[in-house]
Amino acid sequence: MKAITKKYSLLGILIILLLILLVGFPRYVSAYKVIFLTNVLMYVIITLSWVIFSGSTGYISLAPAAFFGVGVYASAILSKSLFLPVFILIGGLASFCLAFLIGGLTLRLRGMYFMMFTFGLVELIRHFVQWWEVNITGTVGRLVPVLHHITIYYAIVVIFLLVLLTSYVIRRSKFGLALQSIGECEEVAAHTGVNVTRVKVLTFAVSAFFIGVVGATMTMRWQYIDPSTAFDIRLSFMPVLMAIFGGMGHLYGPIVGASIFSFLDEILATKFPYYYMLLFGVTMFVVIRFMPHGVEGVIQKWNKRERRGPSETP
Amino acid sequence: MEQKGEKRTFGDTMRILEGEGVKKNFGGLAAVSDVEFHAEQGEIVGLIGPNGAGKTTLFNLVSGALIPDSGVIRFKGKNITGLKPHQITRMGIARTFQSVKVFPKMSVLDHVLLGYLFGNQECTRSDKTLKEVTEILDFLELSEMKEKRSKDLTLANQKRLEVARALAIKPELLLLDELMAGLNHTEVIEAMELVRKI
Repeated sequence: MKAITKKYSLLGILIILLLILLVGFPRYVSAYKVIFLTNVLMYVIITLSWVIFSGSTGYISLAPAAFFGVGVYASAILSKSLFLPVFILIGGLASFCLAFLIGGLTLRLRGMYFMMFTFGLVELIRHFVQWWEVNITGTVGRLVPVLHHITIYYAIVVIFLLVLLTSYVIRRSKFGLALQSIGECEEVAAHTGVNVTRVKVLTFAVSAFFIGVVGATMTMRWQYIDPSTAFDIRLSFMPVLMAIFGGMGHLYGPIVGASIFSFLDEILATKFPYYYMLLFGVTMFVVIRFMPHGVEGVIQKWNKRERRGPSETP
Repeated sequence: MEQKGEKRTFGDTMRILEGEGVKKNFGGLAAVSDVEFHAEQGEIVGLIGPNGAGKTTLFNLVSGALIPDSGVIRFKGKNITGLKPHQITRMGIARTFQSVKVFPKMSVLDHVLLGYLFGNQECTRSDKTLKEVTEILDFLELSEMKEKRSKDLTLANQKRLEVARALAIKPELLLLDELMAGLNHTEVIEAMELVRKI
């Protein structure tokens, strides 16, 4: 019992330290590093939101880019007339509604089929927006009023904390239990009284909400957006890879995974622009071959060994 | 389809489950055709027949996994034909599966908790929950392994776990599909005692 309280107080201190670090960070470092950290946090948020739905239910969604893009466009259209929190919220709600609709239609598809559909969704929306711009408005892309990078940084930090809180609450609640049961055997979950469709669609939409919110916020950094930057398919694959890299059993898994991965991504892209994709692929291969449960798996193995250590030598 | 009811009545004669002209075809094959059945409250009814007779299909029809092509199924006088599995479960019909179906990575406790929290009319977690869940685990002698993941249990215990999960929804009707299949002699006897206790 004592060990548990000690562990919790340690965790509390760690979280407060992290908070202070996150809030104080921009005062002491260069603009480049702030923007870099904003980017890392963006990936962390997307990965965490992705894990909320796909991590527990096992439905691999490749739709994050679609939700992100919807958020981007919502804020690009509204940012001239509204305040930051308002259009961020609207961006999130737009994604929420889209996911609700799509989820209701497609969450009866399992496995590969669901994955292919969500992948197709991104392309569908991207082409639709492109068609709209060419034929209806007669423009290519949009100009967006730029905000200061520190404002965006703080907005992202707030969103990060909200996602963290939401994931934690869902994991601890009966909702999380239902999600887990759906992931393990959907049929039995239904026969145990879980309204499978409602739980799935709602969670899918919540996860999309946060991705939309991030999209709406990040738009403010770009000055100019067009369909191919807003609906960048890379954003669909990144959370999947990052979640695999970090592990999905605990909350820290996706956070650690996304942080290391986006850090690696940045270094590889700037230091070795020509071999970037190659190195990236090799890293991914090594990770899947040698760390099947991601960083989390390694940490747990290490933990177990340490716990066993002292008891073996009494 | 052959069907034989082994009845034991306990005074009360309210019909808890009734079926009229229930029919289900798989392609050209009639798995269940024009079946009439009923069970009364407090009664243990056995449904027997050779392999492929349609016992499990009938269970699937009652529990909502399949929708009958025609016919009506009534539970406590209410028509439940065509309702979703979770709706039927929440009305008080619990079932187990022929081939054991547990959530492999979830703990024994979580199985029962899931049934308790979702099988009843939207319960929330409280002290009472934990007490009743513990009671169910004690009743099925699963308390000692409540932290274990269900895939680490023996087949007999997995079957017990299925029953525990089914009981957690506080059912008025419990459908046990081939509870004894794959168990050895002692385990069969234990299982029979269990059914009687319930």
